[in-house]
Amino acid sequence: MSAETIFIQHLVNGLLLSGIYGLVAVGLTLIYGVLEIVNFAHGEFYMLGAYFTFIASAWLGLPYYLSIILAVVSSALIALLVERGAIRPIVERPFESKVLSTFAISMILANVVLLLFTATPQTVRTGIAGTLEFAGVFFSVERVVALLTGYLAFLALHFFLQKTRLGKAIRAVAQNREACYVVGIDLNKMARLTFTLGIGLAGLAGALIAPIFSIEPSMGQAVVLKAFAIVIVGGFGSVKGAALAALLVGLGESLVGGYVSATLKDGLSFLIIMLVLIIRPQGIFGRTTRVL
Amino acid sequence: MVSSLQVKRIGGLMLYCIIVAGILIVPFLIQSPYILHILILAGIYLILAQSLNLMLGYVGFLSLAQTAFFGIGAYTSAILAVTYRQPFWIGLILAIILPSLIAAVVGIPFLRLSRHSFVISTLGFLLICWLVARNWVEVTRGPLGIPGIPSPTLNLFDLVEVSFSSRASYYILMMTSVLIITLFLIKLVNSRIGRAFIAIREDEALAQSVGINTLKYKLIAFSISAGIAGVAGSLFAHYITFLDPTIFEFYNLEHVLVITLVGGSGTIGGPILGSVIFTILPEVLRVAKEYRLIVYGIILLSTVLLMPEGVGGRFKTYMHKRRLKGVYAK
Repeated sequence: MSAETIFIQHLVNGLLLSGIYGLVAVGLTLIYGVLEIVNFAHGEFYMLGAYFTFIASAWLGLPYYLSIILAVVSSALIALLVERGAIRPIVERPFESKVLSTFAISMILANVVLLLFTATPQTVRTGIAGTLEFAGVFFSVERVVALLTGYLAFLALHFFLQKTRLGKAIRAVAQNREACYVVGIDLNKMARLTFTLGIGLAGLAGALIAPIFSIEPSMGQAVVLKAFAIVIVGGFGSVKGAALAALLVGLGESLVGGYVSATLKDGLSFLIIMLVLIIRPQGIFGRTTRVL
Repeated sequence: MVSSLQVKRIGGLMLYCIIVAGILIVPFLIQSPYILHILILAGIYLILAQSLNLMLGYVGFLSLAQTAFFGIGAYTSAILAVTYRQPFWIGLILAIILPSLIAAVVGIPFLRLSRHSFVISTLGFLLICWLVARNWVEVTRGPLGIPGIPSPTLNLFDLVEVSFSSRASYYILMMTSVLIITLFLIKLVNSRIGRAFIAIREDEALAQSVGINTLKYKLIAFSISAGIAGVAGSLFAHYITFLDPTIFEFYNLEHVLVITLVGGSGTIGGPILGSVIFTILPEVLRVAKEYRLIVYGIILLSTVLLMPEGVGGRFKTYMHKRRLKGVYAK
C-alpha cells in the first residue's frame, strides 16, 4: 500500500470515529444544556445500544437496519425510565447529587450487563460485510454504512433543532429557563424529551459501532471520557462546538494512533481535557462568558 | 468542685480510651485470620474514604482523583521497597509527600475550575494515572505488576525489631494509622483552616469576599487529602504484597464513594459508620463481586435520592433537633 492510501484510510477511520464520538457528545451536551446535568452514565447507554444490536442480530436474527432501530428505541425506553426514576427527582439538587446519581446509574447498568453477558468481548455480524473499492482504496461496507448513517443522523438532528418547534423549544430552555416559563414551555416535558433524545443518539452510536469493533461491558467508560473531552473543547451546552470538536478528536486519534503511538492515542482525549481546562475553561469554540 | 464541663471532658476522654483499647484488643480476642483480613481492608478503605470526605464533605469539591493518589502512594511505596530496598517507613513518608506534591501541582489548574469541570478533570487525571501505570513498564512493570512487596518492619535504634508480617500485628499497625488520621482530621476540621474549608463549601464567593484566600485553602485540602490517600495506598501495597495497575480500577472508587456517601460526608463519624456498614454488609449478604457492585449502585442511588446527608448526617440533624428541644423545654 502506498503512503497515500494509508493516509486516506486513517482519514476515513478518523471521520468514522468523529461521527460516533459526535453522536455521543451531542447527546451529552444537549442534556447538560437543558437539564444542567453532566451525565456520567452516558457511555453506558452507548454500550447498551451496542448490546441491543447484538441481541437483535444474534438472538432474534433480525436484519441489521432493524437491529439499529430496535437498539435506538430500546435505549430510549430505558432512558425514559431512568429519567422518571433517577433524574427528575434530582434536577433541582446541588451538583454532587446530580453527578453521584448518574454515576450510580452507570455502575448499575455496566454491572448488570457484565453479569448477563460476562466480560468476554462479543462480535456482531450484520450480513452486510464486504469491501468497497473507491479510487484504489478499500473500505469495509460496515464502516461506510456507519459513517453515512452517523452523519445523516447529525444532519437530521441539526434540522430538528433549528427548524422544528420542539427543537426550538429545547434550544430555548438551554438558553433561558425563566423565559421559558413565561412563554409557556413545559420544562419537565422538554427535560424528558432531551434526555431521551440524547440517550437515543448514544444508543445509535453504539449500534453503529457494534459490527466494527468487538463489544464489551466496559466500552462505555472509554467513550464517555472522549465525549467529555469533546464537550469541554466545544464548550458545555454547545451543539455546533461539540460537532467541530468531535471532528478534531476523532481525526486526531486516528492520525496519532496511525503515525505516532497507540498509547498516546488512548491518552489523547485526557490530555485534551487537561490542556483545554487549564488554558481556556470555556472551551475552544465556547462563548467567552463562563457557562460552567 | 468539678464543673459539669470537666466531667464531660473526663467522661469523653475515658470513653475514647475505652474505644481505643477495645479496637486494639480485637486481635487477641478474635483469632480468625479471615475476620482480621476483613478488618484490615476496612481500615484501608476507611482512610481512603476520609480523604474523599475531606474534599467532598468539607470543601464541597467531588474529587474522583482520590483513588489515583491511593495508587500513586501504593506504587511509590512498592517501588521503593522492591526496587530500591528501602525500609517501609521511608516508603510510607514518600507515599505521603509525593501524592501531596502532585495534588498541589495539578490542583492549581483544577481547583480554579467550576465544581463540574473539577469532577471531570479529576476523572481524567485518574485515567491518565491508570494509563501511565500500564505503559511505563520500566518503572511499574506494567500489567505484570510488582510482586513480593515485603512486610513492614520497625527498627528501633537497632535494639528492637518489630515485624508486621502477621495479620494481628498488621491489624495493630492499621488501626494505629486509622486513629492517628482520625484525630488529625478532627483537629483539622475544627481549626481555623477547617472553618475556612466549610466556608468555601457553603458559599465560595462569600468566603472570598470576607478575605479567605479560597484557592490557597482548596489547595491545602487537596494536598492533605492526597497525602491521606497515599497512606492508605502504602498500607495497601505492603499488606497485599502485590501491586498492579488494577488498583486504579473503578471498583475502589465506587466502594469509597458508597462508604462516604452512605455514612454521611461532611462529618468525621460518617465514613467510619459507612465503613462499619460496608464491612459487615457484604459478609452478611455473601454475594459475588458482580452482584455486589450492582447492589452498591442501587444503595448509592437510593442514598442520593432519599437521604443525601447519609446515615451520619441524619443522626447529626436528629441530635441537633433533640438538643434544641431540650433548650426550649427549659
